[in-house]
Amino acid sequence: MTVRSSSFQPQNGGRRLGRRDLLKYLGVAGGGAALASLLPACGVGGGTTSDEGSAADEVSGGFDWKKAEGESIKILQTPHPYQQSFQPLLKDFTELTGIEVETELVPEADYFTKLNTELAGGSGEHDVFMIGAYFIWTYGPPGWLEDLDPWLENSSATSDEYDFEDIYEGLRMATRWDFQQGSPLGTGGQWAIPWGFETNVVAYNKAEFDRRGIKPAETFDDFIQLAIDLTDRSESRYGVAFRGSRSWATIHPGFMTQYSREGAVDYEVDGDELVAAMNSEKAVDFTRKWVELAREAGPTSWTTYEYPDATRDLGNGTAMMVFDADSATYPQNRPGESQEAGNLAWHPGPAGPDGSYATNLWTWSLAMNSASQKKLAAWLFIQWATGKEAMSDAVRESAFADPTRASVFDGAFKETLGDFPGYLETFEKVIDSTEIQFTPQTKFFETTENWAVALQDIYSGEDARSRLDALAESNTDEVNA
Amino acid sequence: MSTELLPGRRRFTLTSVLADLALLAWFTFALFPILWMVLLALKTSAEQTSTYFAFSPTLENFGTVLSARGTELTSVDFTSTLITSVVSCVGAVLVSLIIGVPAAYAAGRWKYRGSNDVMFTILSFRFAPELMVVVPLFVIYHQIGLFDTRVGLIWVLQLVTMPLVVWILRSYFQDLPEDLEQAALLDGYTRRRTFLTVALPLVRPGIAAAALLAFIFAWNNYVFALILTGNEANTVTVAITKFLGGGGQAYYNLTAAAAVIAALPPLILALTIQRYLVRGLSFGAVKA
Repeated sequence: MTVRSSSFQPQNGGRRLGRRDLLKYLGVAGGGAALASLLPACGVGGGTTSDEGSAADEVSGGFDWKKAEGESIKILQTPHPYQQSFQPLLKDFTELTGIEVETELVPEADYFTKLNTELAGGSGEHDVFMIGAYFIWTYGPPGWLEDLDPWLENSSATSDEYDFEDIYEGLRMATRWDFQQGSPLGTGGQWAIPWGFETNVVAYNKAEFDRRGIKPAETFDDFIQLAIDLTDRSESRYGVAFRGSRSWATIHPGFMTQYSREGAVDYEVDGDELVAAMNSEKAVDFTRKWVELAREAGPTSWTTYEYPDATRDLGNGTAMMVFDADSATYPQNRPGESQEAGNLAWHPGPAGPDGSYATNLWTWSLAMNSASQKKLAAWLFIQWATGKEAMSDAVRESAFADPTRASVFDGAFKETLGDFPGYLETFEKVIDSTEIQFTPQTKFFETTENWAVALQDIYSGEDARSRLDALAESNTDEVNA
Repeated sequence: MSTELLPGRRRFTLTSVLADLALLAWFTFALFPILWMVLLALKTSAEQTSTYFAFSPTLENFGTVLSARGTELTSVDFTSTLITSVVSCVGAVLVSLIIGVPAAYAAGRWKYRGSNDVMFTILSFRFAPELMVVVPLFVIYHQIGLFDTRVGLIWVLQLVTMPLVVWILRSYFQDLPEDLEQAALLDGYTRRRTFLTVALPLVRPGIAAAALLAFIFAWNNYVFALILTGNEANTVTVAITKFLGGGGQAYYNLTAAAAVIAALPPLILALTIQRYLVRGLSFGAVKA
């Protein structure tokens, strides 16, 4: 670089604004502007607190769908069969209520980044949004979610025909918590209304099973052997696909389901503290087998596997079984959707040693932004979308699996299911044991991702016992910090 | 027979053939993701994960992406997201050039205590994680009404385009002999006229290169558009991902078709000003 000569300095006839002056003024102005703008963000959302009462209390008189006529609401959703089933029905809601609905879609991989930013920013940009039950444990404590209990209990705001109890109990419990360490689910406020859900079971290539004259396994040891027998790497075919990526989402489907069936738990409650139990004898034994299953009969790039990879392999005939969400494998059997469409069937998966069919669930629910300025309209939308009529319409006209209402499952869903062998039987076998098998806690995502990392470490050769001891120790520290 | 190598003829030796083969292999490897994307865009849903190269090609996916069906799937009109991307990226580059070119000239010509710190601060906008600053930006944008607007996008994209323009052009201005400008000043030119009529024309290839690079980086930006826009000002990069589907229903073929369409504007632009780009990027490459 050439050295600039001093003669090249710009000349200025008037008083020169010194660089220090300039930087000082810019710093003061910039700092002030930034501080003024950021202070409201420190309020962590703009939600109502329990001291302020609920906006539901302001709704009085008889129930009327037209109570918020003329308003418009925005909803944030992720592209999903649930959302796609309801999209054509939104005009029915507008006709019923006079409320306009604008949908914004964000892909699943970035959905919670966007939602988190909005809620942390205290924005009421979206009045209603899709939320998974585990996210309530994180988004609820800062006051970002509206408690829907007062809305459910107010007959001026909720139709007599709504019948909240018709929603499966495990789902109602999954979306209710008091945010107290050690408290079970089912206590506290109702932070979302379950809208669609999935049980984690086994989907398999029935055509291939029939050709070989075999049936799905009923115990975990038989399941492992079956998966190994079905694996033929030379033909790019393997026994069972399940998630293995470095994410909390690796733990919650098949792994947590079978982990619970084998009698293991994630935490034990000791007073108001949680003690991680991922290193109990049962947990270590099961984890060893699970990782061995991944090695011997799982996808070769298991540590990168997400559910779309697993369901894709089932659909193109590479994987003979998948242990994941029933609703994620469901679309693969629809005509034209995959190579193996029409060849798939479902099974509850292996029972535990005591015959347990404990099954972990995922539910996409609808929650209300506590900073929303249009809460009545938002509640009417949630009530409509989770109501019997709209859910039945969604089931009849599209691929809405699984509906969260028993009446809709027994009615419209069974009528329209068609040729999905074992789907109903599997659902009915596990539904009474289907609930969130995790202990609710606010550090769920960090600690469950730690768990997935531990699985990967064991997969790559670390000793299961010592690795799970280390995991339990760090997770105990983290959840009680 | 003479073994003399005539002009235009190549000598085929084992080394040169191996070098060509290696080059061809690298070319194939480098372009394979693009080829795969194009192939995927031509497949039906049933064939998207079950076939490699043998399939029944269809243009239906492109039609779906641009049609009402595409809008129904994603809640945004893909064509309008393309227009938003073009408007916001062109706008962002223009603003960066208007402010950044004089800034680069000043940075290249004047040294003062802390000038390197200022330049480093500008550069830090490029490597600071976008997610780190996006929450306060989200709050500010909501407060001042810039959320979900094209103007808001143009403004925030300055974090992407401005450092590129200033840093690239500063090196061009530094490479210009000062004598030219000093001669102009001796002839009575003002500083502004010297900049506009002497320095600026000489760095045109650099401006073209910087503008194109800034445009491409702005075009590819995802996080700011994801967080700071809604349906009104969604850009094409966000719109592409909305075709991915979810819940076990994946539309890789539609996503690939959308990506192919989205890649066309920067590709056309790059080919159009390729001459300037090559010259611009190689300019100053051997500077000490």
